[in-house]
Amino acid sequence: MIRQRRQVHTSADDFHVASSGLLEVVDLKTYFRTPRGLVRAVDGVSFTLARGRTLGLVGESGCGKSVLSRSIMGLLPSTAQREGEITFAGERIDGLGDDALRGYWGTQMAMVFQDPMTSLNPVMRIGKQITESLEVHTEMDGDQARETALALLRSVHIPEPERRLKQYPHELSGGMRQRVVIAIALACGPQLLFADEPTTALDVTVQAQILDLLQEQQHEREMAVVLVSHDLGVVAGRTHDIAVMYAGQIVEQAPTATLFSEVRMPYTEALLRSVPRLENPSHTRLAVIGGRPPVLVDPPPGCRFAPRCPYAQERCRHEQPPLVESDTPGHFYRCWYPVGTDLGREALERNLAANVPQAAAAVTGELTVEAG
Amino acid sequence: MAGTGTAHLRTDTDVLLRVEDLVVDFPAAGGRKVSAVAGVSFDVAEGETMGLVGESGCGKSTAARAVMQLPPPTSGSVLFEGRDLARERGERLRTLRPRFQIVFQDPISSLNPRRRVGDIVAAPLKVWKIGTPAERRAKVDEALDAVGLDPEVARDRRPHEFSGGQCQRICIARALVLDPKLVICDEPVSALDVSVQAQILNLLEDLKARYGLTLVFITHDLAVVKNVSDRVAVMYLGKICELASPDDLYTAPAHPYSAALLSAIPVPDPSVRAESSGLMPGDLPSPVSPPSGCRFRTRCPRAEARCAEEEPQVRPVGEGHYVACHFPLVGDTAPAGAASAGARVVDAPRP
Repeated sequence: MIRQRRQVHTSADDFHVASSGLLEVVDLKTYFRTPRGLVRAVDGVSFTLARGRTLGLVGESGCGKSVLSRSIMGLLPSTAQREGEITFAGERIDGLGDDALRGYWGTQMAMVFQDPMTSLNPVMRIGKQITESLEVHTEMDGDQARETALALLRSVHIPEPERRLKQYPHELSGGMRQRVVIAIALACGPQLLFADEPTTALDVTVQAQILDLLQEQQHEREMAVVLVSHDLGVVAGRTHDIAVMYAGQIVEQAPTATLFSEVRMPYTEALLRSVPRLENPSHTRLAVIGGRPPVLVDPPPGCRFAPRCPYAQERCRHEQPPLVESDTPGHFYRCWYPVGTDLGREALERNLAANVPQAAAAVTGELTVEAG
Repeated sequence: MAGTGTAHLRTDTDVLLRVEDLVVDFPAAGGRKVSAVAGVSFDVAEGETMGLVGESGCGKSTAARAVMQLPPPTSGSVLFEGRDLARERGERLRTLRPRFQIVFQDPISSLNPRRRVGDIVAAPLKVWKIGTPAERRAKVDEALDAVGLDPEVARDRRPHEFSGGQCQRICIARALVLDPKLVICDEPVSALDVSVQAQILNLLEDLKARYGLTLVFITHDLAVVKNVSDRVAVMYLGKICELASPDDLYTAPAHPYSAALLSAIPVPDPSVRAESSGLMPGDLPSPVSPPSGCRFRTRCPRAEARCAEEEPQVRPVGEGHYVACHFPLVGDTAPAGAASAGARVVDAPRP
């Protein structure tokens, strides 16, 4: 990691700036060395997260949302290069090595992964998996740790917690396992929780329970949460702010209500329109996004969404739009011809008149033959 | 619910597939059995899309595979084009197979990575020795074109050169190449991103119209099933709870489980407050020892003593709307007999 060679700043100045937010990320870039070239998985992401707030991170597979959360935690493989500033609770943590980061993992920031079966150790009893981190990070002895583990299992609403302590992961259902994973993540009282698709492997009724649980625990502990999901429905009701990612960049970020009422980025609009809605009658034709995301070894020179965008004009193909703020404070987007503005309407009309396939696909759901 | 009965089966329409009292048991340790599908009946009219929806473990995939005779059901009948598939074996069953095909959930694992796409799609034709090589090739090209892939580009490539959505298109092309009547889609879009999911759902609608297909569409996603289906059956722990047209089911669910499922769907609209499912806490009971009476009663907010003693039968609560519940969420819930309950609701004005 490039950053490891740099000095860690802890001057009073830095502290003052960062104390407004618990987590501050500035121009974070994570690249992976692969045989095909450098994959720009996260390419210049900046955001701030305050204590007790929830940020929803949304995007399709390969957009870099999971790599972003792992980059912040410092959980990257050795093929990764990371640049940019990460400030946590006033301390720069982007230069820290694994030994120093160990002081943050669990106690300051923790993570809940998608698949609870693979994030639990299959040959270790539930109780041991919870008390393990307590014994490493706190002064607790065995009995205290066991009492704390029981209290944690109760707080995540696991029935018969005494019995569960002696069970193995395979003896629990998927929802119960995810509750255990959450209990482990919360054990040492982190201030920041990354929940990486925490409910994607679960059924819809269980999903609602787990999301309720995360919200309840966040409220009680005043934790900040980064909720990563591919499902706009999951983040809509559960977050303060949402950042939409596409091809390694944040393309739109706004307070949750604003994002849904004043969409500016064509990609966000396309995502929202391609989801089947319950309020529509059956057999409603869905709007589709033509093409597929760019290869991140060699992203397009202009806007990364331009090749698939119904609004795209000549400028979009050459000039990368910056992240600009809309009239609503806190609402940022990355587009030359934003949705809901005159510029955007005219661009779409021009494309429809010129029979641009992406524009037609967005309006009618008809998609011409896809290249192999 | 979790009830049995055949009140919802139709006699007047042109029924292509009629599944009656389907039971699938698997052996479990200690001489016990897993009751995966326990007396499921449904029918699918020609040209219709039947949605089977439910959470993991409800038996929806097992039921669909039993229809395919993969493996054959423990008991029950599967009438397809007038023949009972469950009674056919060996070569006679095999000759019927081209008429009903299946598309699986994970497109990448259902394609052989070492074969070229053209050969994968041609395989069913080769097995049945249909046409000359040139005719087969024309048929493959037509199928690839129908699913939105350029045959010239796709034919000589291997599956790893395609995205997940394109692989699912290849699987659909392979299922179509034998001109089936019935296609069973087992979670065909669950492994795909939403933008790709929309493409595949639109494609299935187009193909259904173009080839006159009849679909059985299995999914856990209630929004997807509403979009594609003409009728929807909600399953829980091996039984059908409710069966209705999607618009009826979503505006007025009659079964407490359907209502709970619907309320738990996250809606991409921040003004809609996410609700808890309204279910009693707890997990799906084990299908090795399912609850007595109504299988849903252990999690049902409306359960009473009767639900433990007596299994509810499927009964009408409206035009084409059936439910298996002693206390459904419609009008007066006093169970005064199936016929009167049905009549009462049918009299009410319907949208």
